[in-house]
Amino acid sequence: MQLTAPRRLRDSLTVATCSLLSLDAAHADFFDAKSLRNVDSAVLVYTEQDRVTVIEPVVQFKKELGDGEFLTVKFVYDAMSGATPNGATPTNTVQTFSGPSGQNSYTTAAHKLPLVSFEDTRVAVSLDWELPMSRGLRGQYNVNFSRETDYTSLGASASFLWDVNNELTTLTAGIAANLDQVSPTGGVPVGLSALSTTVAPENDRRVEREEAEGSEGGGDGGSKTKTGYDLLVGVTQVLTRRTLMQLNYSYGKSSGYLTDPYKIVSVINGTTGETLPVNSGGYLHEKRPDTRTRNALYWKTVYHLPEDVVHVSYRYYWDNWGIQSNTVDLTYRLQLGAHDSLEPHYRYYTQTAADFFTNSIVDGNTPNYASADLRLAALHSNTVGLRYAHALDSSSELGLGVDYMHQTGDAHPASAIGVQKNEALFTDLKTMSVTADFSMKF
Amino acid sequence: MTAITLERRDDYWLARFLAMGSPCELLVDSAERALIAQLADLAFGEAKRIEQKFSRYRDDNIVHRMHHNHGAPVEVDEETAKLLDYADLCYRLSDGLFDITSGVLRKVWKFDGSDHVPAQEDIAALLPRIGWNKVTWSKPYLTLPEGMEIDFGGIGKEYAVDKTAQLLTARSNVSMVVNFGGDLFVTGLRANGSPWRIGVDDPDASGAHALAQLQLARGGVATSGDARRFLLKDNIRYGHILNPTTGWPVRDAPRSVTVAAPTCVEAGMLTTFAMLQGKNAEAFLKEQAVQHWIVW
Repeated sequence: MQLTAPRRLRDSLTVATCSLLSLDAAHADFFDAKSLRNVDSAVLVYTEQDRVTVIEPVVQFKKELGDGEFLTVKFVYDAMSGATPNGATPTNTVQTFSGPSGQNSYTTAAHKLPLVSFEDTRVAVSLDWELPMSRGLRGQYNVNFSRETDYTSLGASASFLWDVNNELTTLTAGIAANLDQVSPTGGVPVGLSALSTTVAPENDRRVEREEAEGSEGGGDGGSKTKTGYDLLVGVTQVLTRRTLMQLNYSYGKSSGYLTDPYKIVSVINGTTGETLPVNSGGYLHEKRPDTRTRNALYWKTVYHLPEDVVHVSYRYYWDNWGIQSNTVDLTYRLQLGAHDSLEPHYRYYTQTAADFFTNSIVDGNTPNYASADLRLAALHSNTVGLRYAHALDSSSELGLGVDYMHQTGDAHPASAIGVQKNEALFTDLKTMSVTADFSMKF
Repeated sequence: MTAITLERRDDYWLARFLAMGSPCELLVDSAERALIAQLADLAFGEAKRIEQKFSRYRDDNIVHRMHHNHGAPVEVDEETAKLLDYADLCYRLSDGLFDITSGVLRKVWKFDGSDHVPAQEDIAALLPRIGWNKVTWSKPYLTLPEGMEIDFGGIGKEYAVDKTAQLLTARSNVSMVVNFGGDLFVTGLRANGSPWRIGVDDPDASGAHALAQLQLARGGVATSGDARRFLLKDNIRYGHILNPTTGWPVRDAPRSVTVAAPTCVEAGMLTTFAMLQGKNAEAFLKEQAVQHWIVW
């Protein structure tokens, strides 16, 4: 065969194929001469990955702006409620606390873990713009904003996905930055300062805030900021027709006000283990370091069965606060007919305690940082969930999901002193959340 | 109708049936089972129609008439005429290496992985019965000398893919993939704007491992070469693409060639032409500027 006029061969072949398949004017809108020549431009880069995002979409709209270019807008409305420990340790006497705004004082019976009930609503909006950049490279840009009663967050990110290895492998690199502002009800307390009284702590905080403005000079007294950045690198690999695997490493650093303004730490007598009276400095506001460096390794596999899909993932996390955690996640998507699916889901999570975590501070031994927030303690949790989705038509879907989590930790640690040994220093946390979402493409 | 099975995948429907000696699939980007069933029936119907029309094992089709007219002209229909025109052009473009009269060589070549290479005399005995230049094709009349055969096997499957895709897209504009035994056509981007992801099979681990992944918004993909169809004797591997002028397999042909082109027919013909190039297959495909994968 002559190779001297190669292009002419393919041109002739293309023309001949047109005749064979009767591709005449009537079919021109489907097969036009340009598309017959440019199949290369029709081969697109890998589309978006499945990424873990903080925002749980409630309403989502996706629009194609151009060839392979998409804009996605998500609105979230979350209502959360539950009861959370306020940080004080259970003891052998009744304890009385005030709510953050000074009203709603609440009392905890002896031998019970002090819990404060909370309710919060959150509104969030996020904008995603994805576009092909050059052959094999795709960019995704995101801007997001969320607001709760006492917390505002603004974030932006950029990620790049690059296909290599004949498009079997995709490399991902991303960077994100966020700026958060916390404006707790009643102002920002000075870390490790004592609650002077259980009544009218708002006044209490106002005094401290004024002092803080002079010494710390940060924020506007009533609020503090926190900034952070995150980097992510990952690889996604198609292993077989039915299997896809992903591996990510991420690194993040936060600086600024990382303390929980509502949490306190009990101060106990070093011999008896009893909590000191409030007027003797029995309760201190917690204090956490002002930087945190986080790392995570994440692995996930998606396996397609004839009708259903299985997702398995594992995440190992560690940071410079001394916390290491493991998460195992299993989701099974059960297809029920053409429009409906049911997704049962199970997650197991375990973590070690932060270095500065303590159930209580021994009188006279105040450390530089301390938090009794049980979320920083050694704990493990099990979550089970179920999501039902119904496709309304080929481009929109309604979903309803329910999640139940049970978290347990060490109720009788070795560090318990005196009367504390008779108390359960960790009370199990149980939460239930319900999510409804709607998404549409147009 | 158990000939067609329907399966629901994560975000598309898959219809499966057997036709033209291959496992056939129709992937539909839709959640409506009724539509899938309709499209699958249409696809099955068209695949079977083409299979039966051009099968050499039947006694009621145009191919049978062509083979039993004892050298007299046979009037062929429009569709057959188009295929013959196409085969004629490919014969000329390939300088005679692509020849639809070479099917008789299957009488001596059985590519079953064994070492039963036929004797030269047996091959030579068949050569007089091969040669498109000996056929008189004057549309719509085909005159086939006694003892010669027409074999549409080299374009039949790819042709069926493109014709089926045309039929289905006339019925629905939902995005689909028509895949007949690895020769396929993608009709368009999926509803969510993403392309279909097509795995290019690794002949060493057929079905279990993909060599590459292609994302196709629209177009055809065909593969020539079959890991199982070869002979191995005295350490020489004989691939199943035969040179019609010598009667022997093309020397140093790749084990597998896959090409992506605007239509499945064009993709298929390019893979065949590439295989016929033997060790120059890579250079050939590079010059034709098509996306391709070769396994040596």
